[in-house]
Amino acid sequence: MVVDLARCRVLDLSQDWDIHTPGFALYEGPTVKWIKRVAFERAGGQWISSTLHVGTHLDAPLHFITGGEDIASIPLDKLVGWACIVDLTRYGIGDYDIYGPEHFEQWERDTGIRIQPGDILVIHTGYHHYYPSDWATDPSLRQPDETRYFIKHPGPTRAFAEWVLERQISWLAVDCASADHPFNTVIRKIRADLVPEFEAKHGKPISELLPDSDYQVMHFALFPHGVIHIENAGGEIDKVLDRRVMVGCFPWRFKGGEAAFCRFVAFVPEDEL
Amino acid sequence: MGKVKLYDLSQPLNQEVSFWPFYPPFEVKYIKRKAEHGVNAQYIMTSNHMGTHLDAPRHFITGGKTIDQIPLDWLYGPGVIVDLSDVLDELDIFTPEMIEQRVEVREGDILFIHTGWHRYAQFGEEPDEEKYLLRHPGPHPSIVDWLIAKKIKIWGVDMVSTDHPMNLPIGRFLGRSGLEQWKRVRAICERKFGDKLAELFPEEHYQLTHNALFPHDCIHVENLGGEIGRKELHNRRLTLGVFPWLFKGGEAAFCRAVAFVEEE
Repeated sequence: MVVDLARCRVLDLSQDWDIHTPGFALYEGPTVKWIKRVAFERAGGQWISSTLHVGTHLDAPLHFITGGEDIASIPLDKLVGWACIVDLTRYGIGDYDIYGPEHFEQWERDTGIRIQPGDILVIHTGYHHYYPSDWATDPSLRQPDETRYFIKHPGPTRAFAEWVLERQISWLAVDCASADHPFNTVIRKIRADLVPEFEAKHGKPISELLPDSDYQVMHFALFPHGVIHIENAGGEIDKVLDRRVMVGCFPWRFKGGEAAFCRFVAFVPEDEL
Repeated sequence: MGKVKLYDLSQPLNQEVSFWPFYPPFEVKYIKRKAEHGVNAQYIMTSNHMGTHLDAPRHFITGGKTIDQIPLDWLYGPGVIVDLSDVLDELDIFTPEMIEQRVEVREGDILFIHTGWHRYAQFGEEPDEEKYLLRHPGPHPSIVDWLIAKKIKIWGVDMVSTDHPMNLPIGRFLGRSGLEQWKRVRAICERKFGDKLAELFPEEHYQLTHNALFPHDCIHVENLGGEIGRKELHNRRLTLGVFPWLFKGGEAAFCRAVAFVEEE
């Protein structure tokens, strides 16, 4: 990693985390309560409880693999590195859409930026605007809509997972609810009522678009290779689109953790801001 | 511009880690398992003041900044890790002069203090919870004005608190009418500081570095650890980063603390 640290400013690619932040489907969100107050205990103290798949968080291999690596075992050298921030909105990708290797290869041609082996890949779908805990977006563009955020965001198929391995991507980050297509997750069952809408958009049956064998392919096919991901990225991500920049993912050092809330940032030279 | 090497200055955190007196512990349980649910998922219940964490002004100041209101510009930048480990014993005091004899601290620096105490933490090289929690060193009260004059926003220690145990529940009332830990801590300090005790730790200095500094938005990281003992990091200029998760409304948050070192 070569970068001039003194010239770098830090941009925040993280979303807020509080009691209003929704967890993933069937995951309880945060509780926060004050258990000490300055007036009485001479210090204020909070108590929190939560599942880990809430807000900007990093999944460890342990999330899907028995005996897999936990959060504390992932070295900082892996968590900090060069990242390509690919803006998929430039290709008109929207509700229920499927993206694949062709979009990323087109992005390389359009931007002249090569996604290099060992790079981190940050996927910008634009759906972070819909997250209730989005904070950095211009208020006029912010459109909190958790149904759209969780159920309709675009996602990939097995072809993309294979491409990620082939291109030796280190890890991924997405500015939406899941690295998988919503209908490749438990959401397919929970919001079965919206499957016809998805099929209508593509003009094909779901069994053809997202076969059962590819269920959660971005988790199952990639975690055994250590290719993990951040979900619910966002914050100031719009300021670094279509660039190759240094990023850092900083989960608290949770020993035994299958995931952890993390601060996700970009280190950008001041004159390139 | 050189190659950058990263050092993790954070302590591992799980249910085994000691927690601040009178605060609830870190608890974790599985709520989904691979065989039944197709996935492993956990649930945590905890207070904020354990492991490597950043205190926000809100911890002591009604209406003070919360974790999400602390600019990233404060949390990343030039600084130093001063090594005082060779001169600090149980319940000793360190002064700004001792820091400045070893390294130049510039205005606005991030300042981490290596006392060596992290080796006694749960996952340190020589775990000893009583020593780690009850008998750590602490700063001389002159550190308050010195930190403000230096315009320091973020400092940190490899100990459970930035305050001396005599300015904490530990040396004042921990275990009163029970295990009486406060009496034992006080007795050691009476031997160590003699008739200077009352002058060094006046009544009104209770939690001094919290109460006196948080109104100035001078806040700190506690329980630094990891690679903070590495000699090549000490008493030299480097870049430091403190990364709490973006806890909106949080009076503190677990964080990752990192040293970035540019190699020639």
